[in-house]
Amino acid sequence: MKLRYGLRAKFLAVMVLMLLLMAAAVALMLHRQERMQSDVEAVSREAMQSIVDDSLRRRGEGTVDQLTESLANPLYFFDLDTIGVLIRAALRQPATRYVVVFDADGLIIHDGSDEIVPYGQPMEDPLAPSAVAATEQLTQFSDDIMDVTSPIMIGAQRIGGVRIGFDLQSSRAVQVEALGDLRTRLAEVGRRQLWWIALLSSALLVFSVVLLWLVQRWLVEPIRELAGSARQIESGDFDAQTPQSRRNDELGDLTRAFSRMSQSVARHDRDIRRMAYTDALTGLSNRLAFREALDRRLVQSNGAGLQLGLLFADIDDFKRVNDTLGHDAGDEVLLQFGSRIRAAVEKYGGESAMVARFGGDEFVILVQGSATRAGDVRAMTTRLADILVADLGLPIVVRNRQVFLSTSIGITLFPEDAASATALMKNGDVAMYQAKVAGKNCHRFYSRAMDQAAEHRVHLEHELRGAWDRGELSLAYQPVFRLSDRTLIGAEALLRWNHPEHGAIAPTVFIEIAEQSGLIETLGPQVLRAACQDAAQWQAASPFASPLFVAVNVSPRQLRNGDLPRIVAASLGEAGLAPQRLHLELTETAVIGDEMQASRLLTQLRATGVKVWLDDFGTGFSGLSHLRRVPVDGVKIDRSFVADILHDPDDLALTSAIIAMAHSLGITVVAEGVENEGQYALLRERRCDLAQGFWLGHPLAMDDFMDLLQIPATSAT
Amino acid sequence: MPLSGKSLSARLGTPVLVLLALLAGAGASTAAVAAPPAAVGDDVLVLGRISDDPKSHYDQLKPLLDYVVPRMASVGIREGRVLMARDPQQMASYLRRGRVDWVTETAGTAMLLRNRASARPLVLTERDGRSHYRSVFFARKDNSIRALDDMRGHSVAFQRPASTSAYFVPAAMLLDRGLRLEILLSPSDSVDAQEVGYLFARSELNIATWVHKGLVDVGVMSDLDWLNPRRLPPAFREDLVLVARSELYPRAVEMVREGLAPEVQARLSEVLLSAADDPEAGDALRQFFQTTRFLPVDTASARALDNIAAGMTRVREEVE
Repeated sequence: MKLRYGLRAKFLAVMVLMLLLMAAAVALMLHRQERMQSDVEAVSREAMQSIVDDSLRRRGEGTVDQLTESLANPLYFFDLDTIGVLIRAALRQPATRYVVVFDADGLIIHDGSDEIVPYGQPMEDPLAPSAVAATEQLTQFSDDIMDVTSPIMIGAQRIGGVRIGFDLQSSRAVQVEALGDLRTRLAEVGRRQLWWIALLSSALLVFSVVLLWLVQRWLVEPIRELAGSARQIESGDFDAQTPQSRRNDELGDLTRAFSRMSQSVARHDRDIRRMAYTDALTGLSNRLAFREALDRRLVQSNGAGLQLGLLFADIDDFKRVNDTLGHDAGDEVLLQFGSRIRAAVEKYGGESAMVARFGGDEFVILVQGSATRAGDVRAMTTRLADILVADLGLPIVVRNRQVFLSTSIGITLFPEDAASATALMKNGDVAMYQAKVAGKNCHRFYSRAMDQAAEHRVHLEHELRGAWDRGELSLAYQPVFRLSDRTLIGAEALLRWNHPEHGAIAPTVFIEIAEQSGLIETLGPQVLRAACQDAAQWQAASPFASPLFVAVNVSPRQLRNGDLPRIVAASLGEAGLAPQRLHLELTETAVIGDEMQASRLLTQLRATGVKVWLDDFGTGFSGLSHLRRVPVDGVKIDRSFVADILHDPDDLALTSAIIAMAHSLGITVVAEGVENEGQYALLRERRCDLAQGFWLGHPLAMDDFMDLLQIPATSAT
Repeated sequence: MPLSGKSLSARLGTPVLVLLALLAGAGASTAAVAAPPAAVGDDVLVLGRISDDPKSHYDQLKPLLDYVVPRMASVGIREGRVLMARDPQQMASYLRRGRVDWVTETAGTAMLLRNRASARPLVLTERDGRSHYRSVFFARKDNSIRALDDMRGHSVAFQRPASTSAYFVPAAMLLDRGLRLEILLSPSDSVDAQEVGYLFARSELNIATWVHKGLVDVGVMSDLDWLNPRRLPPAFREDLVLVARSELYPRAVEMVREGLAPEVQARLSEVLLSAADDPEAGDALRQFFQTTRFLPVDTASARALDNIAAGMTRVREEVE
């Protein structure tokens, strides 16, 4: 195990430091002890020397005293035999170097030897003169001798003396021996102390190890467990077993707090997960959850031979609900849709079916077929799709209003259509789009062809991007006449795309592509500028005729972009066209999306003199009430009304009502799609102001339209 | 003051001793060895000795007594006892009063006892293989003294007044030579030119040392001591020379009291003389002052003893 500089290492370091300090203290103590030993030795040597000298002196003096006493009579009688015996007895005492008895003249009488060789001779040693002269006991020292001498008296008469020489050497030797003994004992004491110190050190070491173990057990291990647990939680494993502790200390508190915290974190994680994976409105899974579930299923099914089916359900024209009834109503609709889908799926989708809402009005259903029966999934999804289309087609009551909605469903199957989740989801989208294209309120299975169609669309979008610059796009102008006298008073600018490969492409197709891809925001101003310039040319071509207006369609996107008034002004200024000659046509829905903004913009535009018309009037949900709030100069009755005006009394009534109402508001009315004289006559009869249509005039290229202008108005077909 | 007859002494002594015993208290009368000695019967043989160390001497005397007594049953001896006296006077008293039957002594003291208590020598005693010895005079070689006559005006060291070989015999010899002896106060005391100054040196070693160191001119001791290195250090002897010597005289004598039954004397003499040949007596003899044998008193020895006795008398009269 790698020992990082953690608690344990730190504690270990402290321990080591402590042990080092103790070792230093011990070393100091030992040093002191050594010093003390040598001091003790020195003091002892001095004391011993003084004691030894003192005792030697006392002994010597005592011995001499005694000897003097004993010698008096033998000396008096010259009893050399007895003197010899006494001297020899004295000589036998340890450390006695010599014993000499001398006469009153200081001549040697006896030295303890049998022969008494120096008998009668004077003593020659340095201490002799003072010894001989001494009248009382005298102790003298030389380097290695303590000489104690005493006169021997009979009464007051001094008959001689005795000298005893004590060997200091031998007493010194005794002293040295004693000191050696002392040293040995001190060393022994030192050794014993060393043992104690060693014992204490060992005890401390053991104590440290035990403490280390306790630290390990009490602190490090629980903390490591907590850290490990925290790491597990950090890596997302909230179910990890958190350390338990019944300890009644701070770490126990910490462990329990950690445990509670981890539970709380797990709970929060569950909440967050639920929020992250759940659609807040419907409570269904969201895109993320669905995507993960799909991935899981795909992994599971790999090799297991599972079959999966994805149903992409999109409410048709749901935007209209939001736009017309408000977002709250839209949400309610979505909730009801969600519950209907869930109910259907629960009933027919099999056990492992899953429903998710992908935001907006898009719901996705995942169903799982059995591995054993091929084609099972297709049948199941077909049935489910049929049921869903039917169920969702039933009217929904929202705020006491019945709303009729339909649903388009795209279906893709695994593993037939794609192997990856991304591809499957793209496929589902494509299939759903196809269902829309196919007329909505139906379901479509994904096919390769669909893919190609989608690819074609993408291709067109790409082509469209540079089409204006390449000159593939051009403007055609459909003449607009005054119904009362059938005079040409203007034209509606229409965009045409002549594709080099595919030829003329329907405006409904490429305008939608431009609208959806946002290209319209680039194309719109270009169209506006070109139309203004063309209109200015019309005026130049026939300066004396009454000036013609040009009507240009403005997409909702352009309206939402606040730049429109500026672009309009720039285009007019560039072309030198009077603002009254420009009519901007807006669809009803474009205006309704954001009434306030639209009103502001339109008011601004109209203030410059530009006319604003509502296109396709009558097809929306808005009703006429909007006309009060949105300032417009005219409305264009949708061609669907005009088409049946001769045969359908309802349409005629509606058209008549629109015209009457518009006129009451001071608004001009234009009829679109006039294709025969009967329609023309009826509209004139109903006092419609203006009209356009194939019967009156097809859209013409600029040059052709210029030609038309040369013809006097009266000679028009 | 010689007393005659055992019966008389017994008759006189018994009441005195009984009185003494009564005065001394109970228990004293039963002691076999302790003084004062009680009167003993004819069946008891009492061995006496002059001693300043009765304790150790008792053990030296008793074995021989124990050897002798059983062998004297034929003459009526049933028991043996030891009795020691402090000095010759006391011993003489014991002998006179019949308290001691048998005394072992050196020649000089033996003669003293003969003079004072009429004791008579029974047998001669040979110790360490020497039955006789003599006194020798010696002086330093660098001294001019080479004969007794040269000693006039010089000093001589004797041992002590009780010594046979180192006092009585040599002093008698000097007196015989017509020399006058005068005691000196100390070795440094001056000697009259016509006299011989003498001193008691207390020990043979002192005598040897004094002579060797020139404290005195002449020293005297027995020839046994002369040859004993402990008495005369060999180093000294090299510097000394013998000046004169006495005739041989017995070393020690076993004395019996006057009046001891003749048959007892005879039997004791018989037992002692034959002891050296009896292995059973070996240990007892050896402990009896290193005795090697007992010898009969020959005429030469008897004459020597007479001479000693005469010399002692003369020394007493002329010197002391």
